[in-house]
Order: sequence, then structure tokens, then C-alpha cells
Amino acid sequence: MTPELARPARRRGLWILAAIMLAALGLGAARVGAVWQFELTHPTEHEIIIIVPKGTAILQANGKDSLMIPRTLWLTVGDMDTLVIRNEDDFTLRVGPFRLGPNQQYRQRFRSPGVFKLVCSTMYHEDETVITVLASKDPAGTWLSNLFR
Amino acid sequence: MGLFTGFGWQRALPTLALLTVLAGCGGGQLRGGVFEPPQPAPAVVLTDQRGQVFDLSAQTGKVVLLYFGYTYCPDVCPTSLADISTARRELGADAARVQVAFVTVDPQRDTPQVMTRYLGAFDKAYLGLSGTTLELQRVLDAYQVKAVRRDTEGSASYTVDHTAFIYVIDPQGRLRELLPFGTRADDIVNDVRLLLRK
Repeated sequence: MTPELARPARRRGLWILAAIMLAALGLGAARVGAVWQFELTHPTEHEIIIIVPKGTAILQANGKDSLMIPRTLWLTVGDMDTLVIRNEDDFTLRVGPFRLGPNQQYRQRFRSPGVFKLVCSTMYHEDETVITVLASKDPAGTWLSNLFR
Repeated sequence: MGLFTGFGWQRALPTLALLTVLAGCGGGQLRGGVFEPPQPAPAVVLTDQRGQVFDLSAQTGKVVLLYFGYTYCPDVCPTSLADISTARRELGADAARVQVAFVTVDPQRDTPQVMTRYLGAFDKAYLGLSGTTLELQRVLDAYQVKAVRRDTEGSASYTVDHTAFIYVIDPQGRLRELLPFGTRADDIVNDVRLLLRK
């Protein structure tokens, strides 16, 4: 192929490549816009934060039950509640099935309803906390949250 | 000539390419219970069903899905392993960088032969791990796994109540998240892909 014939073919290829890139950019922008719009219309999303303060382990070692964790936590799937357990103590905390190191946190969203139990070492009697996750009261909210996962 | 005449648009292509990549990124979040910041996963040194030593620290470069269960488990374990199998099929070529390790909480019955047969029904690449009582207890304690034997009245049989999370360890050897029982295969796929990408 002579250079004069190669030049239009190369230019065509570059046009196609640019068109593909612009289309991908457009899709990305549309997705970001959709998620932004979803977040705007669902302001009920919130966090339930349980903080284990500094000094808890020492108090516990001295036989004092210093941390009040609710016996029951209620979360809703459709509102996309997030449970956060944050260890601000200097010692490792044992919560249910995991350990949290100093200044480490555990974050969980619940995507389906159910009942979950946590046994926490910070409570002197190692009682259970029951986390009950409710299905959304708003079917549209659940549908939208599934759409944008 | 159109829109791009005199613009030097060939030089704009690298910028466009970068923006394209960025547009495809983002919005990816792990869907399980996530540890922030992640810490090194507790050590696991056990023996697999082929008699070879399995050392978690030697699995860097792969995502490890660690699961604690037993082969006589009536429902929870087969369901979880089936979900993981479905996820591995959906991962396609990425599955080669995922190692599934099944740690028995019932070493008495879960012999190497039993685990080979059981796990092979899900995926021949699964590793079934066991060890001495002390070795197993060390790992169970490190991962805060509860395993309680429940004898069946009037029978020599028993079940074992056990923690049913999937422990997800990233290619850097850090414990990243816990996936609870019932996590969907597409959520497992999402999280594994995110971790392989990072």
C-alpha cells in the first residue's frame, strides 16, 4: 500500500478509537450521574457506629463492664444502613467472629434481611448482641439499591 | 476536516485513553464486612488432603477464600462451597488467582480421603486442610472461629455448630473482609475482582 492510500485508513482507525473512548467516557459519566442521583434521592442512608473507647480493656480487666452495646441493633436493608465497629482502644478487641486491632474498624452493610448475633469480648459477661436486619419498607428503594450495586 | 482539524487530536488521544480508564474505574466497593485498615491475616500452616503443607504466607499474589467447615455438614457448608464454585466459574481466567482453602472443624471424620472426595465434587482445585488438635485449635483461635460438637441423641452421630463466614485474604496477605453465609456468587465475584485489580 502506498503512503497516500495508508493515510486515510490510519485516520479512519484513529477516529474509531476516539469514538470508542468517547463512548466509554459517556457511559462512565452516566453511571456516576445515576449513582449521584440515587444518593440524592436516598438521604436516609446512615451509619450505626459503635466505638470502643480507649481504656476499655483495662477497665474490663479490673472487672468493670464499661461499654454499653445495645442488646439489639435494628438496621434496614433498603436504607442501606452501615454498621461500623471501631476500636479506639490500645488493645485488640474480640467481636463475634473477628478481632479488631487498635485503631481498626469493621464496616458492614447488610444486603439481605436476617438475624445476626455478635458476642463481644468488651462486655464483661460476654453477652450477645443481636443484629436484626429488616427488609426495606420501601420496595422502590430496594429495587433502586439493587439496580445500582 | 471536521471538529478535530488543527487541534492536534492525536496528542489528545493519550489523555482520552487515561480518562477512559478512569471512567471505568471507581464505584467498586467490597460488599462484605470490611476491615479498615486491613491487617496481615493470621498465620495458617496446616496439611492439605494430598499430604502437603499449606502455608498461607506462601499464597501471596492470590486471593484466598478461607472457609471453616466439615464434610458432614448438612446444609451450610455445601451451600457456601457451591456459591464459591459458581463465583469461580464466573471469574473465568481470574479463577486461577483464587485459592479456596477449606479448614476442617471435624478432623476426626474429615480424613484426607473423605475431603478429597467431598471437595472434588465442588472443584478439584479446592484444598482441604487439617492438622493436629493443637495446630487446628491455633488457627481456629486466631480467626475467632467457634466450633461446638453437638451429639445426636441415641446415636453415635454428631454435628458441629461452626462459624460460617468466608474469610477473604487479599494478594498481599491481608485479611480484608468477611462474607457472611448466604453471600451471593456475584458479590463474591465483585469482591475478588476488586482485590485482584488492586
